[in-house]
Amino acid sequence: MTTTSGPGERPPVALRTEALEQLLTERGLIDPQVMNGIITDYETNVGPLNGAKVVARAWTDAEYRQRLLADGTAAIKELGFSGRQGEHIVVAENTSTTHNVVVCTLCSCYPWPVLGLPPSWYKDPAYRSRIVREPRAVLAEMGLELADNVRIIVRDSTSEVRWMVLPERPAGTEHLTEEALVPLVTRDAMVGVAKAEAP
Amino acid sequence: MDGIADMGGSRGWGHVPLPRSDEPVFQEPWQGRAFALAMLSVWVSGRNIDAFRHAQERLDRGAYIGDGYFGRWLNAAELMLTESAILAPGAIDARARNLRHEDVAEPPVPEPARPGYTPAALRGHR
Repeated sequence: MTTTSGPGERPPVALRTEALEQLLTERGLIDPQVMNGIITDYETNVGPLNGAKVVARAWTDAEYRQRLLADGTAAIKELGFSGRQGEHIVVAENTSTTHNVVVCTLCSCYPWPVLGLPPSWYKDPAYRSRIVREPRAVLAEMGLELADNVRIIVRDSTSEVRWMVLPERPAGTEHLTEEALVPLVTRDAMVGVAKAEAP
Repeated sequence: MDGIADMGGSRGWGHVPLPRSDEPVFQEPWQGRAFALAMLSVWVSGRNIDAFRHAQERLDRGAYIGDGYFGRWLNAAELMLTESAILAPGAIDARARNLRHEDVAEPPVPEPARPGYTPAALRGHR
C-alpha cells in the first residue's frame, strides 16, 4: 500500500524531527551525545524540586526570605541553582490578601533552574490567553478558589524576567523541619495556580 | 504586537487543561529530541534565543499551532536554519520522505550565511 501526502501536507512532525537530527549530525554540526545530555538534564536533574528547596529555606529562614525577595537570582544561586532561562528571576510572595500567578502570554518563558521545563497546561493557548483576562475564574476552574478580598496579580513573564511565586506556608506546619517542608511545595504552587497544603 | 503569538486576552482557545501530577517532561521521545535540536539550532544557525522567539512569532498558524508545542520549536529551528542557509528550503521534508522510503531528491547543501551581530556602533570601527 502506498500512501502519498497532498501537496500541502508535510510529513509528520516526529519524522521531521528525526530528519533534522540526521541532517545536522551527518554534517558534524551537532553531536547526538550532547543532545542526549540536554534531554537527560531536563528529564532528571532540573525540576521543581529545586524550587521547593528554595521555598522551604525561605519558610524557615527569615533572612534568606528577605534576600530571596530582594534578589531572586542571587538567593536561588546560593542554593546552587542557576543557568538557562534563569538569568533574572524575580520572586513574588503570596499572602492572605495578595495572590500572584505567573504566565508567559507570548510564548512559554518559565524559570527553568527552579521549576524545570513548563508543564503542558502552562504552554496551552487557553492558559496564555485567559489567565490575564479572567484570572479568578481560571484559577477557580483549576481548583483554586480565592476570596473576593484577595488581590490577584498576574505576572506576565518576558524574555528578560522570569517569575517564581513564594507560596504561603500552610497552617499546621510550624513543627516541620525545612527538609520535611520540601515535599509540600508543588510546582503548581510556585506558578501560583495552587496553594501549598499541609500534609 | 500582531501575530498569533500575542495570545494574552485573546479568545476562542477553550478550557485550560488541568494540571496532571504525573505528566512526563516529554510525552513522546521525539519531543525531547526536538527540544534539544531547537536549542542547538540556535547556535548552529549563528543566532540567539531572541531570534529563536522571533522565529516562532513569524510561523504561520499551521506551523505555530498545528504541530503542538515542540513542533513549534522544530518549525522555528527550521526557519532559523534556512534563514542562515545552513539548510536548504525543503531539506527537512525531503529527508523525512526518504526516511519513509519515498525516494525523493534532496536539495543540495547551501553555502552558509549566518547573520553577523556586530553592534551598529562598532561597524564603522572594524
